[in-house]
This record gives sequence, C-alpha cells and structure tokens, in this order.
Amino acid sequence: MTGADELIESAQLIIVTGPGGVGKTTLSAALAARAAQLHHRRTLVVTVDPARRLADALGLDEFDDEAVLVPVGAGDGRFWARMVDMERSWDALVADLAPDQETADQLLANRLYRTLTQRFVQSHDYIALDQLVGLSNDDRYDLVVIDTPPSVHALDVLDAPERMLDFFASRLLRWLTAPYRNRLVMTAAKPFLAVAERLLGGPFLAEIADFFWLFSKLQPDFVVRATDVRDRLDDPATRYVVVHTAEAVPAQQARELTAELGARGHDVALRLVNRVLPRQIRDIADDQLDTVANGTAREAIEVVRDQARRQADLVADPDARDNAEDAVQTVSWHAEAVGDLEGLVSLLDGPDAE
Amino acid sequence: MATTTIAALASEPDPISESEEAPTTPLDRQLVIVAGKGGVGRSTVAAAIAIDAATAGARVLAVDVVSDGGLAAALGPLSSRFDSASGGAIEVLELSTEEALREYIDIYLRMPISPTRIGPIAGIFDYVAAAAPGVREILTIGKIAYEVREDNWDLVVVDGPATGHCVELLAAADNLSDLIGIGPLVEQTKWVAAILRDRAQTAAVVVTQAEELPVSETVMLLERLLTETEVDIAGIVVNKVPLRVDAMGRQALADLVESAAASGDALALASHVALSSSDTATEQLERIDELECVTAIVELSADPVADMRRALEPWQPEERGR
Repeated sequence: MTGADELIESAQLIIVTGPGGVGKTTLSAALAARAAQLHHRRTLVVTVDPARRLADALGLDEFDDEAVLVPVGAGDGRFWARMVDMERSWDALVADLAPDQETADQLLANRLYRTLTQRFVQSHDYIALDQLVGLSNDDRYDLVVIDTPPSVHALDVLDAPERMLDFFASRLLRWLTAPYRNRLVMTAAKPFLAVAERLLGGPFLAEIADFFWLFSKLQPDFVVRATDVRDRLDDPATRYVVVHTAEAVPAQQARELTAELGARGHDVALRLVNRVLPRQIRDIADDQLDTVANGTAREAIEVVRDQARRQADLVADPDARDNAEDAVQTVSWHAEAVGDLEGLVSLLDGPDAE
Repeated sequence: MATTTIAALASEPDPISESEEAPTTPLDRQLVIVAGKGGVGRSTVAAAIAIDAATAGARVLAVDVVSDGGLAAALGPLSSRFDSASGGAIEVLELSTEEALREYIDIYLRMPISPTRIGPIAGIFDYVAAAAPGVREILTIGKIAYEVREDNWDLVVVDGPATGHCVELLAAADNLSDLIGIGPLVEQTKWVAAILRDRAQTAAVVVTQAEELPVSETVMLLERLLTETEVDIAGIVVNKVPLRVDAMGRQALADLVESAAASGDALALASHVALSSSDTATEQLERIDELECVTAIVELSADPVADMRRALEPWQPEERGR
C-alpha cells in the first residue's frame, strides 16, 4: 500500500488541495514535519492562513513573512514553515518585475493597486503559487509542500497563472491603454469604452487606464514568470495530494476535484481522508449503549457511533474509491486543533491494523 | 437528535435610526443578506428564510450572488416544505457580473447594445471591475436594491458571497462614491446606500459553525461589517452544532473514558470523541455569545425552515410596515 510515507520520502514538490474546511493546512504541515522528523529531509511548508493553534505550534507570527525553523529533534531533518503575507509578496513581486524603480514606485503608490493585491485576477490564488518559482530552485529544501488557499473552486488556484497570462493577452489592456497609442482607430473597442465611460465617468476611467498602463509595463517579465509557475504545476515531478473528510459533500467535491486534476494530466499521488473515527466505534451494539446510565451521555455516544457508521459506508462505497490504484490514507479523528509537533507527525501514522 | 435553542436578545436601539420604524423581529425586513464563510451553509439558511416567508404568503426573490446554482440546490430538498396555498411565491435570480451589467445597462443607461456584444463586454468589464474596488459590487447590489426600491417583492433574500467579498458588496456604495467622485454610478450609490443602512428595511444574517476557524472568521466578518458598512446585523445562525452534554452527562462520559481507556474500548473511544466535540462546541458557542452586536442566535437543526420560522415569529407579511 502506498501512503504518505512513500510519498514524502522522495517527492520534491507537493501541492495540497481539497475542499474548504477539511484540514488542508494541518495536513500540509504534517506532511512536511513528518518528512523532516522521520525521513530526515529538509522540508518547507508554505501556507496562507493557518489556525491560531497551528500557527503557534509552528512558531509562526502573522506579521512575519519569513520561513521559521521548527525544531524536530536530533536527526538530520530540518523543518521550516512559512506563512505568506499576500500584500508583502505582491509588493515584492512588483518590485521584482518592474522594468525600473520609477514604474515600481508609481504602481505601489497607485490607489487602485491595493485592491489588486486582494482580488485582481485571482491574485490571492496566484501569489500562493508564485512562491513556487523561487522555492523550487532553492537548494536549502529537499521537499516543499504548498498548501493552497481556500477558494470557492479549488481548481481556481491552479488556474490562476493561466488567468494571469490570459489577462495580459486580453483586449482590455490594448483598449484601455489605447490613449497612449491611438484609441480612435480601435473601432472594436467602442462599445466597451462607451459603456465604461457612461458607467464610470471619464476621469475615473482615465485613472483606471493609468493603472493598467503602469501594470502593463510588467507584462514581459510577468508572462515569463506566470509561464514558469504553470510549467512547474505541469511538471510530472510535482505531486498532488487531495484532502477531504469522510463526509458526503466534501468526499463528493474531492472526487470531482480528482477527476478534473486527472483531466489536466495531474494524477493524484495521495488522497488523505481526514478525521476518520476509530473503526471500533462502528461496532458498538445497542445493548452496549444501554449500559450507559446517563441519558445525554448515551445519546452523545450514539451520535458518534452513527457518524462512524456513515463514514464506514462512505469509505467502503466503491464509487468513493475511484480506482484500485488510488492511494488513500485515512487520518484518524483528532481533537480539533493540533497544538504540537508530535501531534502533527503522528497524524500520518496510518490506520491501526485493520 | 439535534437540539434547537434560540436566544433572542433585546436589540439595542441605534440612536441614529431610532426615528425610523424599528423591526419587530430580527428578520422583519424587506432585504436580508446571508453572509458567512464558504461551506458553512449560507445557501441553506437563505433557502430556509425564503421558503418560510413564501409559505407565510410572501412574494420572495431569492438572489444567488455567487451564481453557481448553490441556492437552487439548497431550495430543492426544502421545497417540500413550501406550501403555495397562501399565495406566496419564490423566484430565484442568479446574478453573474454579466447578468448584472446587462440589467444595469437596461435600467440606467438605456443604451442599445446587442445581446451578442454584452458577453465580450462583460468579460472585459470583469478585469476593470476586479481592479476598481466596488464596481462589480455596485452593479450587483444596485440590481438587488433596485428590486427592493421598486417594491417588486415582499422579501428579497440574498445568498451572499463569502466573508470578505460580502463586506465589499455591502460597502461598495460608500467606497465607490469616495473613489469616483461624480458620474451616474455615484448618483446610484446614494440611494443604494440609503436602503442598506435603513435598519427597518435591511439586515444581514451571518452563518457559522461551532468550530475554531469558522468562528474566528465570523468574528472578523462582524468586525468588518460593523466598521466598513452600516448594515444592521439581525443575528447569527450556527449550523451543524454537535450535541452538547450537560454537567451530569459530561461526568458520565469522562468516567467512561477514564475506566476503559487502557483497553481501547469502543465505548471509551466514542465517549472521548463525544466529550471533545461537546466541549469544542460549547467553547465556540461561548465565543459567539460574547459578540455584543448580535440580537439573535439560531442553532440550525435538521429542519432549518422551522428554525428560521421560530426566529421570524411573530412575522406576518401583511403586518409589515414600510
């Protein structure tokens, strides 16, 4: 059986994806921590927004964008964790890609620029993946685990570089920046400009055009950059992990996600089913329940048992197992927030003998 | 079995809007916007509000701002609860940027644009809208407020976008007028903002779950709603609350964990899980209770329509004032 250990002892880049609220960030950290502690590798986990307790456990400070070395014990392994600061990363990217300091300063001072860092062309999604470029050439790390940010559609994250490329290829840039060339000859742009001017007013439209004109100066280097990110996502050496819980909706979403990843040529190297209750709980018989004298306690245990049974149905459901080769590892139920390194590493111990 | 409790606390009157007609119950409004983190059940709550109001005879417009069919999907399983005998009705509107732009051009600009050109224009407009804060949102909230202003419906319920985007939607009218200065959009922002800040007409409902991350995000969302918008917050709906045990039950579970932990006994394991989820839920519900701006807390059970009805009591469409 292939599982997390087989994956993390050799992989160099792992992208962790899945529906929201299933524990992606925790398991991303667990993969990197375990690779460092048990497989003696030098690992880095990159995350966007960890829960407080996890951030504390990793020693991450929300105002710090640096990789933090997390102690993993006496072995050769090293484990770093880094929380991406979106605004700071965008500022750094702009400074990096701008043709000259003046363009960079003008962009950073533009009052429309801040909104770009928040939501422009899935910029949130893009910046998480942009980390790939610097990191995969960084020989400080044997393994980099990227935790993808929560998104309405998990695949939006992976599409972000492509969208960035689309944007630079779009007519909008030509149309809006036309005043700097010759707007009058662009008949195709007329309906758009007419609507935009009526809607936004001339001065605001001019301001928007200014911003896009500045931004378009980044184009040559940005296209190279986003292409680079896309290529790394497509690299066969990049491994994909899908996380979900043993509940109907997330499991279904994960199935769809796996299929869509497959359609893009990304095989899912490992599916982690999180928060699976210990299997003995399924077998609690009704007469065993009756031995619990307290009514509410009995009811609470029954709720847990029924949940365990639903999980069993879901895990056993042949549709839920996409194919026989699909590598699946269940992660035992754990108290909501993992607050220490040992807890993280042991999450991926694998199921007890079944 | 899931428990349902509703704590409807007295709403602190807002000195600014005291002169306005105050709503009698948390959801006694013409426009209700359902906000919250992704995946917590916003669509279910929006659907339950719509169905309950329609069953009571209201004509309801249910707006899906994310436009991914989520609201229609949530209405499906609940639709058996809808009884049209009272004359109520629900219409679902999926409001994409393209749809909102089309509506906007129709209503305000009255410009002849052929339908085949709208698509490409909207596609490009997406980029402009993405860079200019509030442009996309004003088209969307403008259409919603237009439906309220024209009095086309007894209730407009909006299955809003996730956390941050929802704040942007509700703050768009104010933000945009600062940014643009003049123009047709700015004129529009004035009455849109007036409808949104009128607590007799408009309220937001925040949906969450009794877990650490959703509650933290809810705290952040409420902070932003209070500081960046003037929308009244009607209440918080807590979805999927695990069973909580009382002190006696807690002791019984703790004893079971204690007595059989060494043997890996199934009952002990289950007790441990039950105890932990009960404690987590209690802890997170306490965090929600501490939020001062909240007038009502609804725990959603297996019957969300009935839950929302209890929150709506004694709401009657014909008694509602303007």
